Amino acid sequence: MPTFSKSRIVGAVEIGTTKITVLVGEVAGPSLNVIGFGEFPSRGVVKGMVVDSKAAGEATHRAIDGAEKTAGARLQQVFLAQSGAHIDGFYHEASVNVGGLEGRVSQLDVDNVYRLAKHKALPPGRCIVHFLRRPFYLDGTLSPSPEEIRGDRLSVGVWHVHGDQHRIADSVHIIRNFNLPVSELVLSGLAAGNILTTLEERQHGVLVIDLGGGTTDFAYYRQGRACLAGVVAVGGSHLTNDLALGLRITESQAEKMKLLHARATITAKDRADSVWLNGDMGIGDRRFPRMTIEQIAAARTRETLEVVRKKLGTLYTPGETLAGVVLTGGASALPGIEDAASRVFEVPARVGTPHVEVIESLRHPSCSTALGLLHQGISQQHEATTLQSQSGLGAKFKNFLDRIASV
Amino acid sequence: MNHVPLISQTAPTWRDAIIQDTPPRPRQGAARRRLAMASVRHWAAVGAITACLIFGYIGWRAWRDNPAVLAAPASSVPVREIALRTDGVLTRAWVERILNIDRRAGLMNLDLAALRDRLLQSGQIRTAVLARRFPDVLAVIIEERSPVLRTHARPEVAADNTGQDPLYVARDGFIFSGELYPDHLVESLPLLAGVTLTRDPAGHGFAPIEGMEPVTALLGTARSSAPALAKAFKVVSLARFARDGVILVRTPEVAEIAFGTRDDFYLQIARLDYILEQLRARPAGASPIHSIDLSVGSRQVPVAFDSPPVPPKPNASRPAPRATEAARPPLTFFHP
Repeated sequence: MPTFSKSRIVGAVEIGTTKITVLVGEVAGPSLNVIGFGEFPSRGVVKGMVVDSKAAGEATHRAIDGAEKTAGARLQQVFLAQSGAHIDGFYHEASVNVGGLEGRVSQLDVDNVYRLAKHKALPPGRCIVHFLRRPFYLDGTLSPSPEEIRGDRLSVGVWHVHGDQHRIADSVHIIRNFNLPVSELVLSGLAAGNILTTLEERQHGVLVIDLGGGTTDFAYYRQGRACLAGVVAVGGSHLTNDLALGLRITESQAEKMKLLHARATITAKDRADSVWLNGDMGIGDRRFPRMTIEQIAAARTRETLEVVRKKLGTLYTPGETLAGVVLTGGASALPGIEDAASRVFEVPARVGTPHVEVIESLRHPSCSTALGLLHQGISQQHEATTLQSQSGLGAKFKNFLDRIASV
Repeated sequence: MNHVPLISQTAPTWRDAIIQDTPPRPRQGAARRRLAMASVRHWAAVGAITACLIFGYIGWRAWRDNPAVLAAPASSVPVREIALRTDGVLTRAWVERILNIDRRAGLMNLDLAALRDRLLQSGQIRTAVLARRFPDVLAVIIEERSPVLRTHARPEVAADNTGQDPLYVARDGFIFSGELYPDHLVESLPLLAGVTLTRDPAGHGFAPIEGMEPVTALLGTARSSAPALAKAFKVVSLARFARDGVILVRTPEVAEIAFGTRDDFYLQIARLDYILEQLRARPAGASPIHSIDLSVGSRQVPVAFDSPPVPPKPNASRPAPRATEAARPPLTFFHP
């Protein structure tokens, strides 16, 4: 139970295409305890975007209400996961001449080059969700922390994750209408990657793919940092749709066939091997070749993963992704998904589990995003607080002294 | 010289683009309830802060105008009533007379410790608790001593040098001059004899009397088991208590009844009742009872009689008995 100490109650809300997940965390200093969990079938959300605000709002509020009841506490702020086809990204790089004392890189140089790299106009109606800074390069050499190092030219690249302003506002206002402030917005792929990978894996290079119901989020880490993240508007529901079209069955029947018989790789050898639609020998019950089901599922899965690889572009190289691919999300439960991912990305793949201590029910891949959201949101808030303290009067005075010293 | 590039604002982040300060527009019941509760909490907090500010301002004004008002915030409320609760006979009028409170002084100006000492100076009160019951009532709760015996002090040791007023002895041996006891209660109390009252070394009253615990037990047992017998106890003497552990009692019927403190009082009173009943059956004109000694044990009770009145004989041929024989009372042993 919450106490009258300095702890605060935060919530992680993921408004997904198939379900809405809410986690309640109690933050006391550096420690985070997950104290509540709520889940409700999603309504009014298509491909990660809110299309019916009323239905989506009602479902979200029920999930929040349920989570608050299990936690026995009221949320004070919310971290919201962001996904959807409207999310896009681009890369922008900037360089500055080092102007510090004796050719050494100063804090001012670092700030300037980062500010330049972030400076890029967006099309109207778009807003930034994340800036993913890549490592600094000093005279073309990788330099993770270039301050006080001699050099001539400092450069850095930033991956801009941006989204449609109205789409993001729709999901934010759903939370606002429950009288809760959204304090952090985190891309779903980054949230999942934060909790499913270790620092060492991120250092060696790892790709995290969150196979959701309507979208597939991904985040690519190299040299310890997220350097690219995005969303593909294809998910598990598309696989269901393919099965419904291919087998000429309804969506619900296709969903059942997917859960029971679909695989991400083809293992069936015998064309005569078939499965029953309902299994009750009743009217309308039919048999379908297992190989056909597996072919449809494998083709869609491979296509989805290939789209992700295409989105990664030339940045992705198997040689720089030594920690492999980590899969999560509801569709990662598809048998053979690791093999399929390994073939597409040419590195080992596995279904990820959280690297933090949580109860068994929260270790399911469908909870990874919400769990990572809690951790990512808190760390982002901590970074913002640190920056705020650094931009205070004392820090400004120190910068002023540095500039005088450099002159 | 480091060149600081002129950089315009970066692209708007979601924080810049999406304004969250607009009031929420809940469309579901749960959201409306949540918003309503938040509004209630908000206005309650605003109200509490406002009330604190107003009261703070009023207090500051009062302090600025007259600091003494804050020093004695309730001095203007006079004592309207003294609420008394006691387990004895003292009345509110008696308490008011002893306390002698100036009603105009106000409840907060009362020195409760001094008033309590004033009450305790009367030995009749064992404990006293005084409390302010706002706005204008002084609550007095007292526990009184119960008198067991009564006595009189000699004029030379009595405080008022008269020795006329009776003194009362409580079960703890404390001697006090009681008041407001009804006459029938005073008359039913036996007189204390066989002890010398001495002044307390501190100069307040008399020193407590030793041996009152068994006396209280004896009288209590007598009152509960043989009320008629207890009523006849007129004098209780502790003359032999220190030496023999014996309590002497005088009744109109028996000049001296000796109770031992080592034996059970109930059995001794039962034996006394039996012996008196046997003796009352004697023919009229029998010798009056001089003493009954119940302290010697349970096997036998010596009962001594006074010499019977000798009728005057005009021609006495028998020689008169010797003086020693005449002084010794006849003795009988009872085996109850």
